[in-house]
Amino acid sequence: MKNTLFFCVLLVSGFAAQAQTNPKYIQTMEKTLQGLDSILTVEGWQTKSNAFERIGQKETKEWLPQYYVALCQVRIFNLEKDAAKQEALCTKADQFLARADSLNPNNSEIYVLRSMAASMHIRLNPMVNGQKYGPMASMLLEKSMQLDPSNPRAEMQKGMTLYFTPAQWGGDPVKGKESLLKAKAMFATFKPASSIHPNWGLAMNEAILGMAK
Amino acid sequence: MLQQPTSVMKNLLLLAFSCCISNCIFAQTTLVKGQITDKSKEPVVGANILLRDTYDGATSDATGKFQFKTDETGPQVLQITYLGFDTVIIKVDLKGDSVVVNPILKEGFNELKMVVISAGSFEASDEKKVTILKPLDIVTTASAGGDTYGALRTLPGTQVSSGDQNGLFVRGGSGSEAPTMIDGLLVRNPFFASTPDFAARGRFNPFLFKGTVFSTGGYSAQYGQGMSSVLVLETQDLPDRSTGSISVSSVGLGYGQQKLWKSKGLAIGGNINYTNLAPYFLLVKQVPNFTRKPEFIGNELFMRKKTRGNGMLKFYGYYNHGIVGLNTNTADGGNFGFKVKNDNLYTNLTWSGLLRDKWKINLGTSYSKDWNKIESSYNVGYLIADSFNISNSLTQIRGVATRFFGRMTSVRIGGEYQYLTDEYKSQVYGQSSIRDHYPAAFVETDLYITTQLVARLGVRAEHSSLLQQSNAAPRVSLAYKLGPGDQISFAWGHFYQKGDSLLRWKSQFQQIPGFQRAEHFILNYQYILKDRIFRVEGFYKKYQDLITTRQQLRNDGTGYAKGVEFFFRDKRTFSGVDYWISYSWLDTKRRYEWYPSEAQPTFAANHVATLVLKKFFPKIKTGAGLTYNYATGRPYFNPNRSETGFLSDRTPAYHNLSVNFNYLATIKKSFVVFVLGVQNVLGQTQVFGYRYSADGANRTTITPAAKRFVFIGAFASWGVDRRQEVIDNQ
Repeated sequence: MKNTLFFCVLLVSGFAAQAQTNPKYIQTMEKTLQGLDSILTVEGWQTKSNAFERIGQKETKEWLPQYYVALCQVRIFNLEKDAAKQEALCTKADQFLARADSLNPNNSEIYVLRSMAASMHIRLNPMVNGQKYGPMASMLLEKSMQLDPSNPRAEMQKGMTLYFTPAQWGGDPVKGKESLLKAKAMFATFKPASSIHPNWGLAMNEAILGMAK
Repeated sequence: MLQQPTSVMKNLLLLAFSCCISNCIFAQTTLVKGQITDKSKEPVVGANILLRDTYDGATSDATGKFQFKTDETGPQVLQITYLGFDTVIIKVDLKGDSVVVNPILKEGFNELKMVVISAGSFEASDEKKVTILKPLDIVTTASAGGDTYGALRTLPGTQVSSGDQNGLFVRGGSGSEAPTMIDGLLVRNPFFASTPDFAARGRFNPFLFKGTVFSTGGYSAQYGQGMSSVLVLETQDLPDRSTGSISVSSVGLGYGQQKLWKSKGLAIGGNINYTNLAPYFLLVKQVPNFTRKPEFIGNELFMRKKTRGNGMLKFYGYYNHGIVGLNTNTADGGNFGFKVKNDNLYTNLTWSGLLRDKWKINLGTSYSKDWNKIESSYNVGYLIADSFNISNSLTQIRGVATRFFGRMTSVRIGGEYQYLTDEYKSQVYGQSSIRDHYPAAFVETDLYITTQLVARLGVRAEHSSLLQQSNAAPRVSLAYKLGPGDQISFAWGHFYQKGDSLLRWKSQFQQIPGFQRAEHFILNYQYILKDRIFRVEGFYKKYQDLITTRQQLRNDGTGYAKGVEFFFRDKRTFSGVDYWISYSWLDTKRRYEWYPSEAQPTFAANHVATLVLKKFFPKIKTGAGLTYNYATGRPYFNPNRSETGFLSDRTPAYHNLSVNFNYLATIKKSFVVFVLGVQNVLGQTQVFGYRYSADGANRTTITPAAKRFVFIGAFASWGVDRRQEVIDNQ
């Protein structure tokens, strides 16, 4: 009888082992996140985006894959020259951020990306989109800072916006540089909630500080 | 201690063993590979190939090739996606070893690549991608003075030197041949009341509209009663946020407010405007003696609500009261006085939405009324004084149902009914009262034969109880896309129109004249790529049954109009500069109204050219614009000529250089735009025509009220949301 029980337990645990995907999810996410901060080409970001999209279409309750797909669209937008493609990237970023937000509302990281996506709309067509997306971008960023004052990406986005916006529209390169330096310090002390929670941006921050000198 | 296995144990062992075997089968690895190409066999780079409901997949490389390994087995679904292309689904059966798929991706529906009906049509819309103008263009064009009609006069096909008469004069047609529609419903009085020889501006603020389609001919069967053109304006949908606004200018003041309840999908707003030209006239001398300087007060109210079925219910109400009076010297050495008090009410209620997901329904109803109290006097030794009461009203309902087949092909069926009244009471000339019941119906299809070739076929039927006549008008348009940027388009159709104000005098004549008719032939070539647009269009219009008023009201007038027009717009060549050039050549003659013979009508100039230039200086946040209008002379009536020389004289050529500047500022939390505009900067003499004395010995010149018109204004708008509301709106 003991052996019978032993076999049953083996069988059951065997099947259970097959049914278990959470560690696999974490594993796959960790693997895909490797090298995220050092990608420099559209193709590189596209490959990452596709991988996150694949994970996201299976793990429909997880906000992180949707978030990272949106992040990839933002990064591709910065490298893309074709206006028609840029427009499609804006739409896709909005789409995936909406999904992430519905899965995990009031999330500081998602609000930072939403603010970045709003800035993309402005850069796409400043005359037509400026009036609508300008206030939206700053409101979203403010909320992200309220939700998590220790988020270095929010501070970095604040710094980038201040640095790159022309003075007449409210920009200030001096204040911008201050924010970027503050963000640099925050990156050093920031502890992400898990191995797959957002922890990107230090390289971007350094790159812009390099320009600001 | 091992015992001899019992039968239970044996079964369990068998079960375990078979599971292990099946596990071994399940543990097989399959290699999925292939190459992704598009219709023209080009590789698709960066596409996402995935196995549904797994993490497995890959990205296609620079040659379109991909490969990945998967531990999944059995029937699976492979999905290939790429931005801008239709998703491809392939069922595969994974049995280990390898599976090869070579999918071909089809480009997804892309508005930029479809062919569009363009003959005789200029569209300004924020929503459509392929448009000639944006609504903002209308407001920032120098000579327009913030008036939609002023901006349309910079496009080919319209006369620029028609400053003495209301309306758009399109391709040899008179001002009454170009009606205005708002949300599909006719607007009977789109211009302010004016004094004779001075044109007034349009009543409606261009910011009210999200889309403008200006047709110079060959337009859809949905519209009628415009022998030359139709202007279709579409009102805005829900605003983005609640706002308040104030305007202060050299001609008046305005205040507006709108509130948005995003969760309810409801917006309500209104504004009030006061215009008084008295202070301006004190500073800038006007030629006529204004006995009553123009003064207008008006208000608008709107409500917009989202409804079920992706629908939108919109209400717009407009009321304006105005007064203007002047006194001029006549060629007879006498004095002509004219004063008009005008009240105008316009209301419009529309609903659009989807019915059962297949039909798009547009319903609308409108009521408008216009009252004019006019006092006129003519003093040349003896005085003839008259007072007129002229009023008209329009009640209409309209419905259109559109059914889409596939993504683009559609069929439209619709009908409308208008009840028009016109009351005229003059102490000297008597009175007239007209009623007309005007039902109309139309059927039309936009048939996309391929993505390169589209045909629009339609027929419109109308009836007028006043004319006691019906008509049926065919309308055909074709467009063929030659390449990524260019296309040719053709339009043909019949366009009927009643005689309008001429019919007031029907009681004096034996017969009520029937519909007048124009037949259009239009051929157009258009090239739009990136930020350059080039367009050339040729047309031929044949007029028949035009109403003549010699002795009887008869439909025996005829005419023709033909010409070629060019349009070129470039936003790319010079950095920050946007400019367009339009040129129209027109050859037209007609015999209508009182004309004894066929002649070029007084409102038509043979050559018209316009240059519009705009540049935005981001460092100083200022936009500057310049417009130069040129037209050759207009015919005018000279009584000293015999009938063979009828309308053979020409006014001098018309030149008009206008400039404007816009400065954008952010004061506290509001956007402020400062505007400075000057029309006819160089003070060039502009002659629209002449009025002769009864003996033909003397004449006065018809010119604008002043050489130059200067406009200074500031417009401020601010959001009224609290911050949270804005975030919740996302």
